[in-house]
Amino acid sequence: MIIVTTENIANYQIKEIKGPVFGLTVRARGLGKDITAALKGLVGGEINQYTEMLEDARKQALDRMVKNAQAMGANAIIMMRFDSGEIGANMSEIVAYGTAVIAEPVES
Amino acid sequence: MNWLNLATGYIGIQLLLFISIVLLSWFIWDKRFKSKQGDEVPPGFEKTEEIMIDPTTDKKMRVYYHPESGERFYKEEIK
Repeated sequence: MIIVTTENIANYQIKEIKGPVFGLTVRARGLGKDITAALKGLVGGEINQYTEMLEDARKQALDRMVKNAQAMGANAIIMMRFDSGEIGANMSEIVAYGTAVIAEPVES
Repeated sequence: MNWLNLATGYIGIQLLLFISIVLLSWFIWDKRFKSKQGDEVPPGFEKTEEIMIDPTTDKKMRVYYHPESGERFYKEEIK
Protein backbone atom coordinates (compact mmCIF):
# COMPACT_ATOMS: atom_id res chain seq x y z
CA MET A 1 0.00 0.00 0.00
CA ILE A 2 1.48 3.30 -1.09
CA ILE A 3 0.68 6.15 1.30
CA VAL A 4 1.54 9.69 0.31
CA THR A 5 0.65 13.12 1.57
CA THR A 6 0.80 14.55 -1.94
CA GLU A 7 -1.88 14.72 -4.62
CA ASN A 8 0.11 12.64 -7.11
CA ILE A 9 2.45 9.70 -6.79
CA ALA A 10 5.77 9.95 -8.62
CA ASN A 11 5.97 7.50 -11.56
CA TYR A 12 2.42 6.34 -10.96
CA GLN A 13 -0.82 7.21 -12.68
CA ILE A 14 -4.09 7.26 -10.78
CA LYS A 15 -6.50 4.95 -12.63
CA GLU A 16 -9.45 4.97 -10.27
CA ILE A 17 -10.59 6.87 -7.21
CA LYS A 18 -12.24 4.64 -4.63
CA GLY A 19 -13.23 7.43 -2.24
CA PRO A 20 -12.34 8.84 1.16
CA VAL A 21 -10.86 6.46 3.67
CA PHE A 22 -10.53 6.89 7.43
CA GLY A 23 -8.90 5.22 10.41
CA LEU A 24 -10.03 6.39 13.82
CA THR A 25 -8.98 5.65 17.36
CA VAL A 26 -9.52 7.06 20.83
CA ARG A 27 -6.93 6.16 23.41
CA ALA A 28 -6.48 7.01 27.07
CA ARG A 29 -3.81 6.69 29.67
CA GLY A 30 -4.63 4.69 32.79
CA LEU A 31 -4.92 6.26 36.23
CA GLY A 32 -1.43 5.15 37.28
CA LYS A 33 0.44 6.78 34.43
CA ASP A 34 -1.97 9.72 34.44
CA ILE A 35 -0.89 10.56 38.00
CA THR A 36 2.79 10.23 37.01
CA ALA A 37 2.17 12.48 34.00
CA ALA A 38 0.44 15.08 36.19
CA LEU A 39 3.42 15.10 38.57
CA LYS A 40 5.83 15.40 35.64
CA GLY A 41 3.75 18.34 34.39
CA LEU A 42 4.60 20.21 37.57
CA VAL A 43 8.33 20.03 36.97
CA GLY A 44 8.30 20.40 33.18
CA GLY A 45 9.96 18.48 30.37
CA GLU A 46 8.58 15.88 28.02
CA ILE A 47 5.62 13.91 29.29
CA ASN A 48 6.59 10.45 28.04
CA GLN A 49 3.27 8.93 29.13
CA TYR A 50 1.36 11.19 26.72
CA THR A 51 3.98 10.90 23.97
CA GLU A 52 3.47 7.12 24.11
CA MET A 53 -0.29 7.52 24.04
CA LEU A 54 -0.24 9.75 20.96
CA GLU A 55 2.35 7.64 19.14
CA ASP A 56 0.24 4.52 19.73
CA ALA A 57 -2.90 6.34 18.62
CA ARG A 58 -1.18 7.51 15.43
CA LYS A 59 -0.01 3.97 14.65
CA GLN A 60 -3.41 2.45 15.31
CA ALA A 61 -5.23 5.09 13.23
CA LEU A 62 -2.83 4.51 10.33
CA ASP A 63 -3.25 0.72 10.56
CA ARG A 64 -7.02 1.04 10.49
CA MET A 65 -6.96 3.44 7.56
CA VAL A 66 -4.77 1.06 5.52
CA LYS A 67 -7.04 -1.87 6.35
CA ASN A 68 -10.09 0.11 5.27
CA ALA A 69 -8.39 1.16 2.03
CA GLN A 70 -7.49 -2.46 1.30
CA ALA A 71 -11.12 -3.46 1.92
CA MET A 72 -12.15 -0.83 -0.64
CA GLY A 73 -9.87 -2.46 -3.21
CA ALA A 74 -7.36 0.39 -3.31
CA ASN A 75 -3.62 -0.02 -3.60
CA ALA A 76 -2.68 3.52 -2.60
CA ILE A 77 -3.79 6.40 -0.40
CA ILE A 78 -3.13 9.95 -1.53
CA MET A 79 -3.44 13.24 0.38
CA MET A 80 -3.08 11.41 3.71
CA ARG A 81 -3.58 13.60 6.78
CA PHE A 82 -3.88 13.26 10.53
CA ASP A 83 -6.37 15.13 12.65
CA SER A 84 -6.77 15.07 16.40
CA GLY A 85 -9.21 16.03 19.08
CA GLU A 86 -9.80 15.68 22.78
CA ILE A 87 -12.48 13.67 24.51
CA GLY A 88 -12.27 14.26 28.23
CA ALA A 89 -9.16 15.24 30.12
CA ASN A 90 -6.96 12.23 29.38
CA MET A 91 -8.39 10.83 26.15
CA SER A 92 -7.14 11.60 22.72
CA GLU A 93 -8.84 11.01 19.41
CA ILE A 94 -6.72 10.67 16.30
CA VAL A 95 -8.06 10.17 12.81
CA ALA A 96 -5.96 9.35 9.78
CA TYR A 97 -7.67 10.06 6.49
CA GLY A 98 -6.97 10.30 2.81
CA THR A 99 -8.27 9.32 -0.61
CA ALA A 100 -8.14 5.65 -1.53
CA VAL A 101 -7.10 5.15 -5.15
CA ILE A 102 -5.86 2.57 -7.59
CA ALA A 103 -2.51 3.65 -8.93
CA GLU A 104 -0.56 1.98 -11.71
CA PRO A 105 3.09 2.48 -12.62
CA VAL A 106 3.64 4.70 -15.66
CA GLU A 107 5.23 2.88 -18.58
CA SER A 108 8.26 4.86 -19.68
CA MET B 1 -14.35 6.19 70.10
CA ASN B 2 -16.29 3.76 67.97
CA TRP B 3 -16.99 6.37 65.27
CA LEU B 4 -13.25 7.08 64.94
CA ASN B 5 -12.51 3.41 64.25
CA LEU B 6 -15.29 3.35 61.68
CA ALA B 7 -13.97 6.48 59.94
CA THR B 8 -10.41 5.15 59.91
CA GLY B 9 -11.62 1.84 58.52
CA TYR B 10 -13.66 3.57 55.83
CA ILE B 11 -10.75 5.80 54.76
CA GLY B 12 -8.42 2.80 54.82
CA ILE B 13 -10.68 0.79 52.52
CA GLN B 14 -11.04 3.75 50.14
CA LEU B 15 -7.27 4.22 50.08
CA LEU B 16 -6.65 0.51 49.47
CA LEU B 17 -9.19 0.50 46.64
CA PHE B 18 -7.56 3.57 45.06
CA ILE B 19 -4.06 2.08 45.29
CA SER B 20 -5.33 -1.22 43.82
CA ILE B 21 -6.87 0.59 40.84
CA VAL B 22 -3.67 2.58 40.28
CA LEU B 23 -1.52 -0.57 40.38
CA LEU B 24 -3.86 -2.57 38.14
CA SER B 25 -4.00 0.33 35.71
CA TRP B 26 -0.20 0.66 35.65
CA PHE B 27 0.70 -3.03 35.31
CA ILE B 28 -2.24 -4.66 33.56
CA TRP B 29 -4.56 -2.31 31.67
CA ASP B 30 -2.38 0.55 30.47
CA LYS B 31 -0.22 -1.21 27.90
CA ARG B 32 1.41 0.05 24.73
CA PHE B 33 -0.31 -0.72 21.44
CA LYS B 34 1.31 -4.00 20.41
CA SER B 35 -1.42 -5.90 18.67
CA LYS B 36 0.70 -6.48 15.58
CA GLN B 37 4.27 -6.38 16.74
CA GLY B 38 6.93 -8.98 17.28
CA ASP B 39 10.30 -10.45 16.37
CA GLU B 40 9.00 -12.96 13.82
CA VAL B 41 7.23 -11.63 10.75
CA PRO B 42 4.15 -13.81 10.10
CA PRO B 43 3.86 -15.45 6.65
CA GLY B 44 2.39 -13.36 3.85
CA PHE B 45 3.74 -10.03 5.09
CA GLU B 46 5.94 -7.99 2.75
CA LYS B 47 8.73 -5.66 3.78
CA THR B 48 8.04 -1.94 3.18
CA GLU B 49 10.28 1.11 3.21
CA GLU B 50 8.36 2.58 6.13
CA ILE B 51 10.43 2.92 9.29
CA MET B 52 9.57 4.70 12.51
CA ILE B 53 11.64 5.37 15.58
CA ASP B 54 9.58 5.09 18.74
CA PRO B 55 9.85 8.45 20.55
CA THR B 56 10.08 6.96 24.04
CA THR B 57 11.95 3.68 23.56
CA ASP B 58 14.09 4.81 20.59
CA LYS B 59 13.46 1.43 18.95
CA LYS B 60 13.64 1.45 15.17
CA MET B 61 10.54 -0.29 13.84
CA ARG B 62 10.01 -1.45 10.27
CA VAL B 63 6.54 -1.87 8.85
CA TYR B 64 5.54 -5.07 7.04
CA TYR B 65 2.34 -5.17 5.00
CA HIS B 66 -0.01 -8.02 4.15
CA PRO B 67 -1.47 -7.23 0.68
CA GLU B 68 -4.47 -9.53 1.09
CA SER B 69 -5.67 -8.64 4.56
CA GLY B 70 -4.41 -5.04 4.59
CA GLU B 71 -2.82 -5.59 8.00
CA ARG B 72 0.42 -3.98 9.06
CA PHE B 73 3.05 -5.59 11.25
CA TYR B 74 5.84 -3.86 13.19
CA LYS B 75 9.22 -5.50 13.67
CA GLU B 76 12.20 -4.02 15.44
CA GLU B 77 15.19 -3.41 13.17
CA ILE B 78 18.30 -4.72 14.88
CA LYS B 79 21.40 -2.94 13.66
